[in-house]
Amino acid sequence: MLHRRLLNAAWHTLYVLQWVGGILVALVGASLKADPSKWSVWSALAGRTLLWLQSTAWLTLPLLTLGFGSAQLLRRLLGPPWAWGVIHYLLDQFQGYVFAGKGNEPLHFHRVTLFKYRRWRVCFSRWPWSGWLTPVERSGHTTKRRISVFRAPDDADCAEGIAGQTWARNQVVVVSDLPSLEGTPSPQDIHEYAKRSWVSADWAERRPPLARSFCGIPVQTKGKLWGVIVIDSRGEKIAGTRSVGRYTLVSRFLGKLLEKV
Amino acid sequence: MSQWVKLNPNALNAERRELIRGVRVNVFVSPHDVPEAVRGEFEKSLNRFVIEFKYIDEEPWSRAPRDNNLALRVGRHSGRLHGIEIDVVGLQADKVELRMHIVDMIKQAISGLAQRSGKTQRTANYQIAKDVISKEQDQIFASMSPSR
Repeated sequence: MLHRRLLNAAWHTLYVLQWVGGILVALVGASLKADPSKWSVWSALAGRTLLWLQSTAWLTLPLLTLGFGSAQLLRRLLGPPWAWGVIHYLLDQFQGYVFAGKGNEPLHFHRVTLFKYRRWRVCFSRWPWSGWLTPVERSGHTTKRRISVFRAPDDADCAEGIAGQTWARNQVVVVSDLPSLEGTPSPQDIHEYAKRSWVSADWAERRPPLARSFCGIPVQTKGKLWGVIVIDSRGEKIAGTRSVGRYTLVSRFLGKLLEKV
Repeated sequence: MSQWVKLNPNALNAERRELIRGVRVNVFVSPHDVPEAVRGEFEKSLNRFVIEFKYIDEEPWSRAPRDNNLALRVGRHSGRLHGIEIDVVGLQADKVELRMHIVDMIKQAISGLAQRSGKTQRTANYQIAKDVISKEQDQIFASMSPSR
């Protein structure tokens, strides 16, 4: 699930809160040096407020500092919206390069999704800490909700989906000619699709995927495996050589951006 | 500084057929494991001839000495081969003989690296590095002489 707008709004809110918190810390800090009796002469309310600020400074200053630090950490986890904007642009460009000549088909027929590896995630799952590949950005402007999350455990044999296998093997994996699950697919087609894309038959039956070919590419930053990019298409084949070649073009910029998110 | 020799990633990274959990698929080496350029130059500060590989992402490397005359530069996180340092002065041989000897030494050292245990070893990357050294040796060793 991608809630990029919500996450970007949260990033901006935290940014504003940090400014407000910073101004409050400066005010409370400055109030410690002020003389309440002088302020009372000018205004009784100002004097009382100053007294209150001074008496509670032992609590408000550490709390505001803690809040400032927490907001900074959260903003770092969310990543700056401008970086996500450029990442989305790069995925769009990458999609355009790989599927050049298919511009007359709807965008969501050929997609590029970026998955990030996380050691754990909050979910109702048996092993939430087993390692997961979660979607963080997708090309185009549609089909951004209900994107699947795949297990990427230490036991590589149990890695799920094209994303999981790409992660586990750290190499480009291309799967083509999967059976079509459009309409009312037969149990044999569902079983074959599930087997050839390393997902469970239940999963394929519940939400029959419409893509018929995939290409998974490992994504690295500074020598560390960061996640994977999965290209999926409703066409029967994906040109692996072209995908790898075009990835090399965008990865230089993508890698630098991913270091910031 | 000698010029980087640009490599053709498509030629180095050919599509292969593999079996993954009973499923036959097409695979490629990760684009991050395929060097995009190589160069060789004599580094006066080290008094060694150094072969360097350039990848699409950079990372810090560690020096792994193989013997007195040869050391490998291995990526700290990925285990990729980033470079090879050769003591050409210490090897004391004439230029033609030396180059052949060095190429063999390098290949042996890289094979040794591939046999090393550890989850970060990159067998495919090491094989590509060996191929690059074999194919591009004329350009790589053009500036081997310490006098240049």
